[in-house]
Formats: sequence, structure tokens, C-alpha cells
Amino acid sequence: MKKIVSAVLTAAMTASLMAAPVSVHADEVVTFDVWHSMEGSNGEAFEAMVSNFNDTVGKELGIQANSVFQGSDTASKLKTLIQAEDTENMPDVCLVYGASLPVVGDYENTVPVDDMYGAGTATLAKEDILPATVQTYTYKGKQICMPFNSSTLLLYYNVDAFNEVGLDPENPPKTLDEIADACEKLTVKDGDNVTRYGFNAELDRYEMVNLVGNQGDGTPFGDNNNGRDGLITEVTCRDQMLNVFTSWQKIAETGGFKYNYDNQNEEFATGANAMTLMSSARIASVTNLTKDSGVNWNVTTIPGIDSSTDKGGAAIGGASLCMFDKGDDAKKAAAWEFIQYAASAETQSTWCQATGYLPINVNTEKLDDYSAYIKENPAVQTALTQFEATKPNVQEPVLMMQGSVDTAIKDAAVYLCEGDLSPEEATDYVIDECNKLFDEYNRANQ
Amino acid sequence: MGKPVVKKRKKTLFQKFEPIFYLAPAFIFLGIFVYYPFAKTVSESFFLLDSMGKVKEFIGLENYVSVLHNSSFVKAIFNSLKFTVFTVPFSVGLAFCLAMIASKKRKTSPIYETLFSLPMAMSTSVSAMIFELMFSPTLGIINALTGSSIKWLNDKDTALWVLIIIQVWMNIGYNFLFILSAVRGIDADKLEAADVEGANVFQKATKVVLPLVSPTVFFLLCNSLAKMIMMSGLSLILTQGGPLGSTETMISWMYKQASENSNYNNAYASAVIAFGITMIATIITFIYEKKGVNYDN
Repeated sequence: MKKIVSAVLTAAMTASLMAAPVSVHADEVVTFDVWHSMEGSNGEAFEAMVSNFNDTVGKELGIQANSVFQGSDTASKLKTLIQAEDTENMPDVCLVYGASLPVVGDYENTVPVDDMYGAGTATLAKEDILPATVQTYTYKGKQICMPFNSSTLLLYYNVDAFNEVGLDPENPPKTLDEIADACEKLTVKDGDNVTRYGFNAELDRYEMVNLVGNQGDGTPFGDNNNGRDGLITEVTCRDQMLNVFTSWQKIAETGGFKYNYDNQNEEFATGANAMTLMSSARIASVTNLTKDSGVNWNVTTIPGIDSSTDKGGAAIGGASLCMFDKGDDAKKAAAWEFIQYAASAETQSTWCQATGYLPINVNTEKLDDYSAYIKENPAVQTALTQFEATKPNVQEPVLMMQGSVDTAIKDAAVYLCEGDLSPEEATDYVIDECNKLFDEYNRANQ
Repeated sequence: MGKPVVKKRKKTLFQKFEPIFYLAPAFIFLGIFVYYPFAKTVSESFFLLDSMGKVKEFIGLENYVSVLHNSSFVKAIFNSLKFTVFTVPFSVGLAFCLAMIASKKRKTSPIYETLFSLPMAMSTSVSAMIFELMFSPTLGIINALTGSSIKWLNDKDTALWVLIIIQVWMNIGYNFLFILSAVRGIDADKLEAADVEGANVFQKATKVVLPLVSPTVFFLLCNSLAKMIMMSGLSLILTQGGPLGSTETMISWMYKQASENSNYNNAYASAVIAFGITMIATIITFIYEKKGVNYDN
């Protein structure tokens, strides 16, 4: 008797478990997954954008985005799924950084956004997107991903300190040599102890790419169109890199140069360092920090070597949205609608005001609310001017061994600053290390 | 007639395989997550692999030759060994001292027992962040209190030492608990006998207590030796191997090759080398076990 009762109960419970999902499947809303790695206030702004999409365009078209926070290792998770050929667990849309471009570019289920313009509601045209940001995410002739959150490198400087030592804050340094002069004047010492550094910067891969790229009419780091038409086989900017290291040595010799980061934002905001190189994405946090300290500051475009001839501009940093074909056309169409929404002038305006990123849609500035925001934040205007003037060919090189290239440049700069390498030796060190890395990688991947 | 025989046979068959059923879950787990990946890593380290980890061609020992000619990896081997040589003795030794101090049960025992073993409950990343702030050259309490201007994690001469200090602190709690229970388990007569013979505190600790707790100490040595040679967490969180490669360890180097450089050739070969070095170190401790560990208390 007991056995019969328990068997009936088990059967009933199993049946109830199986019944539940059936009722959910009734309506025909297409849902799709969006992976991102935005944290803190940026994460909140991202979630707000997704829920706005679901309430407006999504509701009209019967599609709903499901945003999933995947953390800072989103790229490794995506790569693992690609390696395992697991399309089922792939997201439909994923926020990817520039370093992942070759991974998604070579993956067969990636849908290049280039192929999607004109599809669906067709509210977005390629001409709406800033050409330099299109180039940033172009690989083997096609735009793979849609730029989404973009930023650019800027020189931040302390206006009070400039006034104090008699430098003109309306005329900030335009070249690395001018930075060296200003650095010497801005440095304050108490005996042998430096109480205020004139300049604080690390020379890493991103900074080097910017300082090299800015020279002349724009200088690429490596061959094969900076890795966008094929694998980079060698570094092609020896002279320009030597220029950077030569000027960097002059800055180091001032004795008031801090060549590593401890608490970059805070030290600049409290006046411990008078100038620093940082992304425009930090404008918002520096604004907040200086509210307490009362320090007046401003930003200017990245320094060149010769301000009269350097016209390249800055390489654009940030991330992009990439979409994947999982064998379901409805989801693919929905993913494209989401990307169009995210790149629209209106969404970019809200997103950039909330986060401090720079709008990738050229029509954003024509919107009233965004132009009002710019007027209130002159530092953002400087960033935007530099952002829009940048040449497509100076965008970051496509490097699959980005980590080691970064280490090679960083180490060479530290050796230079500590007097262990001359500018020529530092340049040779970087080029030798990079070319070795390229050979090693290309041997296995050609 | 035949019935009982069949029944009996069935029973013995089940009895024969019964232990295997109990062991199976553990073995399946180990097989999938430890032995299979290990075998795959070793076998594929003899092949050329592309950025997706796909096998291209057999190249014999070339990956090993290239890794051992890589000055940054050779430096990482020495860093790992230096890190181990200093963290293991200090974390076991300090834990032993604390256990000696705390061995007598008093009313306040639970308070300092908890205090001494607290580091055990801290995750690596949390401890790392706290120490990072303490060692910050500009905002940190250490430079503020001592008035020094040492760059700690940003100086190639001090960075590894900072990691050693943090790791020793993190290990002490776990080691302390084990040694404390061993010390308290010692027969009171033996300690009394030592007192009667007129032994001082130092003699009691080294000549009586240490030999009696040697099995526990041996377990802790083996355990932390392998963990410390394989250390990567602190280095990846705090210094990313820098400055100038001074805190790069074998495993942080391997991790970067695979995850940042998509270079599985270097990653697999360095993983096998790191395993080999750890195995040699473990064998050496087992040789020591025969001489130094006393199981007859």
C-alpha cells in the first residue's frame, strides 16, 4: 500500500514539474541574450538602456533583450564557447573590446554588422557612425562589430599649479618636449623629497600607440594595415618610436616625473601630480574627486613630437557590440534591432551623459540635450574634438599577443627612466621583443 | 537446486564491486577535471597549436626548448622558487611559535585562537586589496607610519618581498590551527618530565614538542610547498608580474601565455615544467619524512 501511494505521489510530482514550462511558452515574444562587462554606475546605465529598449522598440516589435553581466572575463568566456563550438550557450549580442576583434572576426558564426545595414527597421546607416570608430572595428575589409562605448586619451593638467608657477593654463603643452619643460617648472621639492610631481604617466602599449600614431599624417604601429588585412609581421614605426623615447628621456631627466601609477585619479585630483595622461572616460570621476579637493583642472589633446606637423590624432579606446548567428533567424533579426537602438543618436546621448563615454553616432551632437551637456562640461568638448578629428589609420593595431607587447613597452620605458637603456636601446628592445612575439604567433597561426 | 548457487554468486559479484561504486563519483570527477586535462596538456605540449588550441603538427621538444630559452620564464622559475623558500618556513615557523604561546587553555583562549586563525577565512583577493592599500607608497599606512618613501609593489627590488609577507600572513591561520591541535594532543606527562629535568622554554619547544608534532608539520610542509610553487593569485592581482618581471611566477606566466597571448605552445610546455619542479620538491620532502618525522608518540 505504502509503495503504491509513494509511486502515485512521485508520478504526480514529476508531472507537475513537466507541466510548468509549457504554459510559459505560449506567447510569441522573441527573447535574446546580451552579455556585457559594465560595472558600477556604467553597469546601471547599461541595464537602464536595455530596459528602455524592452519598453519601447522591443515592445513594438515583440522582442525582449535579456542582459547578462559576465564580468571582466567576458572575452575568455566567449572564446571558450567558440573553442568548444557551443553555439547553444553563446549570447546573441556581446560587448567585446578591441583585443578580441580577431577572435570574433575569424569565427564563422559571427555576423559582421557590415552585412546587416539596411535590414529590419533599417533605422541606422553606416554613414551615421564616426568613420574612425568604424575603422577601429574593421577586420579583413568588413566592419565586424558596432562601436558602442568609446573614449580617447587626454592630457589632464592642474590649472592652479600652472598659475602658481607662471605657466599659461590657456596654452597647455602641445608636445612631449613642452611637457618636459612644464614638468620641471611644476615640480616642487622638499630637500631630496618630491612633494609635487610635474607629470605622472606610464608608457604602456596604449600610450605608445597613441604617441606614435599621432605623428605625421598618422603612423601605424605595424604592417598589413595595422593587422586589419592580415597578421602583423613587423613593427613599422621605428623612427616615430625613437622620437617618443627620446622625448620621454628628457621628461625623466627633469627629476619631477613619476613613471608608474599608484592612485592616478586621486593623486591628480588632490594636486600631488600636476599633469597626467588618462582616458576621457575618467572625466566624470575626476570631476567628482575635485569637488572635494577644490582643485581646478582642465584637459587638452594628446601631445605630439612636432605640433606643426603632427596631424594623426588619437587612437580610439573602448568596446563594441558584436552579434552571433545561432541558427535562429528571429533572434538574429532581434539582435540587429538591439544594436541599431544602442548605436542610435538618442541612445548614445543618454548613455554618454550617464557614463562620460564619447558618442559614436555623428548625429548625437545635433540633439539639444547633448549639446547642453557639452556646454556644461568643457572638458568633454575637448575630448570630443580630438575624438572626431582622429584619422582612421591611427587606430590601435590588431594584436593577439597584446599582453606581452604591453609588457615589452612598459619594461623598456621603466629601464629608460631608470637610466638603464638609452632611447635607441629602448626602441630596439621593444622592436626585437615584438618581432619575436609576431614570429612565434604567426608560425602557429598562418 | 541451482537457485541458491546463482544467488550466492550474485552476492559475491556485488560485494566484489561494491567499493568501486563508492569510489566511482570521486574517480569520475578527478578523471574529468584532473587526469584527462593533465594527460591532454602533456601530450599536446609536443605539438604546434594555433590560437584556438587546435593541433597543427608534431614538433617534438621544440615548445620546451623555446620556453626554456625565454628569459622571462626562466626568471619566473627563480621567482617561484625564491617565493617558496621564504614563505613555507616562515609561515610554518611563525604558526608554530603562535601555537606554543597559545597552547595552554585559559579563559581567554577562544579570543586569541580566533584572532590567530582569522587570516584563514580571508580570500586571496580581499587580503590582496587590503595589503595593496597598506603598501601604497603615497596613501598607505606603512610609509605614513615609518616615514619612508619605498615604492614597495612598484619597485623591482621590494615587490616580491611584499608578496612573501602577504602570503605568510595568509598561511599562518591555517597552519596555526593544525599545529595548535597537535601541541594540545601531546601527553602532559612528557612535558612535565621535561620541566622536572630543568628544560627551558626553548629546549622544550625544539627537543620535546617539535619532534612530537612532526607528522603535522610534515603535512603542512608538503601541502604549502606545492601550493606556493604553484602560486599565481597575488602576483596576478597586485602586480601582473611586474615591475620588470620581478614578481612573475611560473603559473602567472603560463596563465598570461594562454589567456592574453593565445599562445598554447608556451602555456602547455611551461605547465608541464612547473608540474615537474613541484613533483621534485615533493619527492625531496618525502625523503626528509623518512629521517625527520617521528610517528611513535
